[in-house]
Amino acid sequence: MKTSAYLPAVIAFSLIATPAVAQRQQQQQESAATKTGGLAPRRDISGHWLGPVSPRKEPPPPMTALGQQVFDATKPLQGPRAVPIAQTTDPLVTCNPQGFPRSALFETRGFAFEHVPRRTLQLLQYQRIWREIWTDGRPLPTNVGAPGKDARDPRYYGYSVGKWADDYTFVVTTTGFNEDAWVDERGYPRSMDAKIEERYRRIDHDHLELSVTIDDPKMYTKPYFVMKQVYTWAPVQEFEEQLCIPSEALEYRETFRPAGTGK
Amino acid sequence: MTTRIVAFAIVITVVTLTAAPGFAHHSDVAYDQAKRTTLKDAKIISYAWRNPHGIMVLDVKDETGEVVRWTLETGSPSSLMTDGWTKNSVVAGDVITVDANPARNGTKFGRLLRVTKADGTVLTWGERNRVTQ
Repeated sequence: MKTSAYLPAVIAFSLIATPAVAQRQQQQQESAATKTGGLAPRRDISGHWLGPVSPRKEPPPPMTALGQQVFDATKPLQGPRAVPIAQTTDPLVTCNPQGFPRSALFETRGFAFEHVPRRTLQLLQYQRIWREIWTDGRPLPTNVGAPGKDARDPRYYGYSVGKWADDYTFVVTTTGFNEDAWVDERGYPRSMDAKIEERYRRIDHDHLELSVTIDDPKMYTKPYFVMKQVYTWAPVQEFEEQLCIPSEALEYRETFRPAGTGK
Repeated sequence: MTTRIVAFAIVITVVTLTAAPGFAHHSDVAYDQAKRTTLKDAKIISYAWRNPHGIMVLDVKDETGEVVRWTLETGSPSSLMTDGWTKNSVVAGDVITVDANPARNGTKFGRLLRVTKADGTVLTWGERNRVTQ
């Protein structure tokens, strides 16, 4: 009886108080999210970051015979070997996954990090992709693509582990790739066993420097230092929805196919 | 007022950083960038404001008075917004003048560069980026 007497009051309080609490929490989150300037926080690269859509990349070292063969078979839409859209073999033209490291080297339309227990998540605005970077000390898998029931499948975005090299530098190593994806829009290859290192150095609160190096003896005669690029703290800490939509991409390709035929 | 200015600046910054260069899905090699074709009094038959690039279909009279259909690619919505476009900047039925890089192979395709509307309003796509490239 007493319980039912209190019930309307509890409901009324909830209806009034919950929105107020939520609004206050949202205001606090927005205040923290839009805070800019100052020193880099220790062991923290969380937040939304922006940079160029297609960062400038270094030329690769000489490729192996296999690397050259795979590279020669690609017909990119971009770069010095660009072909018309009707002739390209670029997987992205039909919205196939970019994979890693292309997701860091092309169409980098903003990304975010979130540190959570046992792992750091990287969220990519373009295509709404996420990467799991394990920080619980586990090793990288060594049986990707191997025979046997315990083998791991190759992945477009590979398997990633991360650790702090110092209080401001987070190092991610990734391997175990699906070889359908390209290194970047120019059509450079990477093998399943490539080890790719990302070094994220928090320069200050508003700047995050990324260096990418590919160690892939099957495809390159030396480690390939691909790029160093600084990203800036996004003034709006929220994603847009930027998608590659297969039906629209196909219509685009078919519509403009005649423009790229013959000479 | 100050808040509005700051908000506008933030929006412009975000669009600029996330939109450029806006040519990601296509290849420029199909178009002759040294040529500029002007299509006068072109009637927009359809215009798709979409990713990865917009598609504008136009009917234009040639020198003999015959109606010729042209198809132009434009930027993605985000890259066009960087240049001041909105979804309704041009719509089907509008009569406009268009500058475009024509297809190298002589087909009636092109990459849109500039639109001049009947009221004199000028809209461009990517001219800023191309000048600096």
